[in-house]
Amino acid sequence: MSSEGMQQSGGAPKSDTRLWIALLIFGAVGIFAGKVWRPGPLAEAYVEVVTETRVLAEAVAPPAAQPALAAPSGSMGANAPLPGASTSEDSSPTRVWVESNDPRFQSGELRRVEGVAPEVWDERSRVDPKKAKEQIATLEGDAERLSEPTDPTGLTQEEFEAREAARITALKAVESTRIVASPRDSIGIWVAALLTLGIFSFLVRDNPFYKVVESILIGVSAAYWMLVAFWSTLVPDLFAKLAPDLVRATMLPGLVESEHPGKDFLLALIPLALGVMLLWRLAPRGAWIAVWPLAVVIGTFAGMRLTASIEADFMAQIAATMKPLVAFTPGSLEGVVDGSVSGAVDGVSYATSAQGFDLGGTLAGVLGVVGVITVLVYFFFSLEHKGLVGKTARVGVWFLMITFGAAFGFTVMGRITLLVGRFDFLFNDWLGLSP
Amino acid sequence: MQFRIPEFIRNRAFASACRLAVGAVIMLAANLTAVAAPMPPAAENVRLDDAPDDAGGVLIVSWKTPDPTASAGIVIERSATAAEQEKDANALWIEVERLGRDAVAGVDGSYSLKGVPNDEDTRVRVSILGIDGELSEFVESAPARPSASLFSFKRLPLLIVVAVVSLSVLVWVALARSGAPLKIRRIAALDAVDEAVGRATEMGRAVLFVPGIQDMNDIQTIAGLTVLGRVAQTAAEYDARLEVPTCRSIVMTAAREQVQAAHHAAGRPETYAEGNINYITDEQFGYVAYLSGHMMREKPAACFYMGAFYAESLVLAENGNSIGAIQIAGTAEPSQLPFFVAACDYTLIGEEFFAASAYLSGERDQLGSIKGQDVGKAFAIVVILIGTILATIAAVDADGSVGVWTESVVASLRSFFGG
Amino acid sequence: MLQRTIPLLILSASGLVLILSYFSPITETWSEQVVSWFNILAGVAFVLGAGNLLAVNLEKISSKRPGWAYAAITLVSFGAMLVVGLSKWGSVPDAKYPNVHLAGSQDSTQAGYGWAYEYVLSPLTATMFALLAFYVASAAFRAFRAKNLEAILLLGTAFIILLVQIAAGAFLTNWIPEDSFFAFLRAESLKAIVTEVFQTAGMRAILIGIALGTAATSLRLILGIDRSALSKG
Repeated sequence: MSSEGMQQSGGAPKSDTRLWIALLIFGAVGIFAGKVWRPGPLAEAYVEVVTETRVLAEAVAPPAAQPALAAPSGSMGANAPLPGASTSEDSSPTRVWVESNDPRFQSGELRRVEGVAPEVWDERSRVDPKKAKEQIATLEGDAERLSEPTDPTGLTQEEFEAREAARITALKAVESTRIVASPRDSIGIWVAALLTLGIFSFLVRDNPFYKVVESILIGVSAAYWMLVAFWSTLVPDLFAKLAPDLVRATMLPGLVESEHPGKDFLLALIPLALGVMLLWRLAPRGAWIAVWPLAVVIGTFAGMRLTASIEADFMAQIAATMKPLVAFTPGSLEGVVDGSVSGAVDGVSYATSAQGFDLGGTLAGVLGVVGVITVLVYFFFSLEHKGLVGKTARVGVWFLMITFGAAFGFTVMGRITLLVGRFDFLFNDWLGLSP
Repeated sequence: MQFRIPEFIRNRAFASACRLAVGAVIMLAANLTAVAAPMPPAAENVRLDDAPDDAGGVLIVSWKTPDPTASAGIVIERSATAAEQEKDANALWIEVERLGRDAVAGVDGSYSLKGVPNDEDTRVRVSILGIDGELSEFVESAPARPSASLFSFKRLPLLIVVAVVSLSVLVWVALARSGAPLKIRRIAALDAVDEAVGRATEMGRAVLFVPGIQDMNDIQTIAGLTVLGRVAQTAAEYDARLEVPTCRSIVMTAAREQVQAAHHAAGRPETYAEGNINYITDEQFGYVAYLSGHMMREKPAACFYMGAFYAESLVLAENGNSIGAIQIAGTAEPSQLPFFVAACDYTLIGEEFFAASAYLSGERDQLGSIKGQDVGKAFAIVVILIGTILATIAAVDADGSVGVWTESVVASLRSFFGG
Repeated sequence: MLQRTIPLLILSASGLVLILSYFSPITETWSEQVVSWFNILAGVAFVLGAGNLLAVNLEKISSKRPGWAYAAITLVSFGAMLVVGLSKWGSVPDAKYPNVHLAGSQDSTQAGYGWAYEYVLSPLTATMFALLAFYVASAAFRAFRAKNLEAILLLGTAFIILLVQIAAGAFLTNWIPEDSFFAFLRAESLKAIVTEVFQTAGMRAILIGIALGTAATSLRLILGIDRSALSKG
C-alpha cells in the first residue's frame, strides 16, 4: 500500500474497512450489553444548578470610616497601600457587587446603586448520576410533602403560623435546589468516548478514525497551551505591567496597584523587546535579529544550569557517597540483625566496641561505592573499553542495567493503572455499566 | 497565631506602674497563699546582628533565656520605621512574632527578622512569656542595620568546584590547541549517525529528529539542538531529507537556525528547507500522537531522539521499532533511559549525550573539552575514595584517636560538598 | 559582524553574568527574573508557533495535498478552541466583579473552554498516556528476545520489582524464614537491595556524569568553543 493511499481522506482503503467494522461491532456489542445489564440511558450526566445574583452597592459610611478592610497593622507589609483606597474616593465612593440579601444593607453600611441591573447567572456543577437520581427522588418527595398545607386541627393559631412559615421556607429551599439532566455533559461524554476509542484504534493500525482524532488533538491542544500562556503569563506578567489600568478595566479587575509601576513597566519591556526581536523572523528584512534573543536564552540558561548542576548533582552526590564500607550493628555482640537492606549471617561477629559486624550492611556499602565508581569508569571517554578498564566498565553496565530495570518495573504498574482508568471511563461513565 | 497587647499596656510607664501594683499585690498574696507563680526573669544578652551572606534586609535577634524551665515563649518587637512613625506617631514598637516554648527551651535563642530597611537603624526588644502567661520586663537591643554582602561565603566551596571543573576543561582545550594527542574512545551510538543518515538517503526516506518535549530553558534541549547541528550537516552532505517536528515555538526557531547553519557549513545553503522544521503543539501527548501517526505514514529510515523526554519516550521508540527505523536516542532524563535502552538501537546515556555534539564535531577544541570532563570524573572518583576510606577508618576505630580525627575530616569533607 | 559575532558575544556575556550572579547575595535572584522573562518570551513566541501551524495546514488545504481534510480538522479545532478560550465563551462570572466578562472563570464544563478541556483534551491525552501499558509490554517482549546478559539483568530486575509491587512477590517468598541466611531473597528485601544498593549507586554515577556533561556543554557554549548554534552565513 502506498503511503499516498494511506493518507487519502476521502474513501478509506479497503483493508481499513475491516477495522471500521470491528469498531462498529465493538460499539454495538458494548451498547447492547449496557442495555441488558442495566436498562437506562447511556452517558448520563446531571448537574446541580445554583442561581447567583449580585447587585451593585456603594458604601454609605462617611469617608473617614472605610469598610473594615484594614490589614493587620502589626504585620511587616502594613505600609503597602490598600487596593482601591486612593484619594479619588471622595468623588466616587467604593462600589462593590454583593448578594442582594447582604446583611450590610440592613445595617445601613451599603445601599443599592440605582439604575444598574443586577447580574444573574447560573452555576452548574456535575453530580454523580446515581446520587443525582436519589437526590431528585428525595427532593420530589419532599416537595410533595411540603406542598400540603399544615393541618390546623389541634394547633393554636401561633403554632399553626410558625409551622406554616417553616413549611414555606423548607419548600422554597427544596424548590431552589435544582438537579437536572445535563445534555451538554452527556454529549461531552459521548465525544470523549469516541475520541478515546479513536486513540485506541491506533493499536490495531493507523486508520482514518485515528487521523481525525489526532488532528483534533493537535488543534485543540496547541490552542489550549496558547490560551494558558495568554491568560496565566502574558496577561498578569506582561500586559498588566505595561498597561495596568487597561488590564484592570477589561481582564483583571482585582489587579493590585503596584508599588513601583515605573520599574515594573521598564522590566516588562525587556522580555517584550526580546519577543519582538524573535518575531522579527517574520519580517521581510533583518530576520537575523531573531538570533539575538536566542543567544540570550541559551547563554542565560547555560550559565544558570552550570552552577545548579555542579551544586545539586555533582557535589551533593559525591557527599552522599562518602560512607563507611563496613557496617556494624549497634550494641549487639552477636552481630547480625539488619532489617533494612539484607539478611544477615549467624555467628559472624567481629566484636569491636560492643558492636557486631554486619555482613549484609558491609556488602551493601561496598557494592554502593563499587557501583558509583564502575559506572563512572564506564563514562570515561579517554579510556578505550579494553582490558581492566573494559572489565570495570562492564560491571558498570551491569549496575546501569539493574538501575534501569528497577525504573522499568516501577513504571509498569503506573501505566496499567492509567489504562484501567480509561476502561473505567468507557464502561462506567459512558456505557453506564457500573453495578 | 498573633494577638496584640493593648496599647496602654505597651506604654512603659503604665506597665511599670501596673507591675509595681501587681507586684505588691502578689507579695501580699504570696504571704497568704505561698503558691503564686513567679514572674519570669527577663531575657539577657539581647543582641541584634546583621545576617551574613545576604542581600541585606535581614537581622538576627539573639538572646539568652535565664530560666528555660520557667519560660513558655517569647515576644519580639521591633522599633517602627521612620515611614511607619510618619503615619502613626504613637507606633513606637511593633510586635513581630510570638514564639512558643521551642524558642526558649534552650539557653540561647535566635530569630531572623526579615524585611528590615537597609538605610535606617532598627532596634528590637524581647520579653519572656512565663508559664502562667505573664510577661517579663522588655529588654532592648542596641540599634543595628542590615548590610548587603557582595560575596556569598557559603557558596565558596561551589565556586572552588566550579573553578576546578572549568579549569580542567579549559586546560584540556589549551592542550588540544597545542597539539597534545587526543584519544577518545569510540561511542558506537555516534559512529552510527553516518550509517543511519546514509541508509535513509539510500532508501529515499526521511531522517526524523525529535529534540525532546522541553523548551529552550532546559539544557538537554540545548544539547539536543547542538547534536541536531551535526546530524543536519551530515544530512546536508548526503542530501537526505531531515524532518524536525518541535513541541515548542522557540525550539522551532532555534532548530531552524541550527539546521540552516549546518547547511551553510556543509556548503549547501541552497538545499535548506525551512518547511521541514515545524511546530506541532506544546501538549506532550498531542505531540506524541502526531509523531506516532507521522512515523507510521512516512516511515522515516532513521529516528533521532535527543533531548528531554518523559513518558512519551517509549511510545516513540516502540513506533520507530515497528517501522524498522535505525533509532539513536540520547537523554539525561534518568527515568526514561530504561525505555530507550530497551527499544532503541543505540542510546546515549546521560553524560554521553552531552558529549555527543563535541564528539561528532571532531574539532580538536571540542574533543579537548570532553577530556576535561574526564578530569572532573577522576576528581569525583578520588574524592569518593578518600572520603569512603576515611569514613571506614572512622567507623572501625570509632573510639580511637585516629577514628575521631578521620571522622572530623570526613565531616568537613561532607560539609564542603554540601552533604 | 551583526549576524555572527554579536550573538556569540551576547551568549557569552549573558552566560558569564548568570554564573557570577549566583555567587553574590545581591544578584542571586537574577535567575528567577530570567526564568520569568523566559516564560513571557515563550508566550510571545506562540505567535510563531501559531503562524507556522496555520501556514502548514493552510498550504495543505490550498494545494489539496493528500490528507488535506485532516489539516482542515486541525485548523477548525485550533480556531474554535482559540476563539472560545480568548472570548471566555460561557464563562462563569467572578462573584466580586460579575460585570467584567473577561474576569470570569472558564474551568467548569459550562464554559466552552472547560467543556473542551474536560471532554476533548483530557480524555485524548489520558488515553494516549494509557497506550503506554501496551508499549511497555511489547518493549519488554522485545528486550526479552535479545538474550544477552544486559537484557536479562534489566528485565529480571524489572520483573522482580513488578512482582513485589503486585503482592505476588510476597506471596511467593513468604515461606523463607525472616531470620535465615536466605532472608535476603524475600520479596521486600530483594526490592530494598535493588533500590537502595544498585539503583542508588547507578543513579548517583549517572547524576555525577550528567552534572559534568551539563557543565561542559554550558562551558563550550559560553566560551564559544561550540559556536555551531549561532554561526550561519
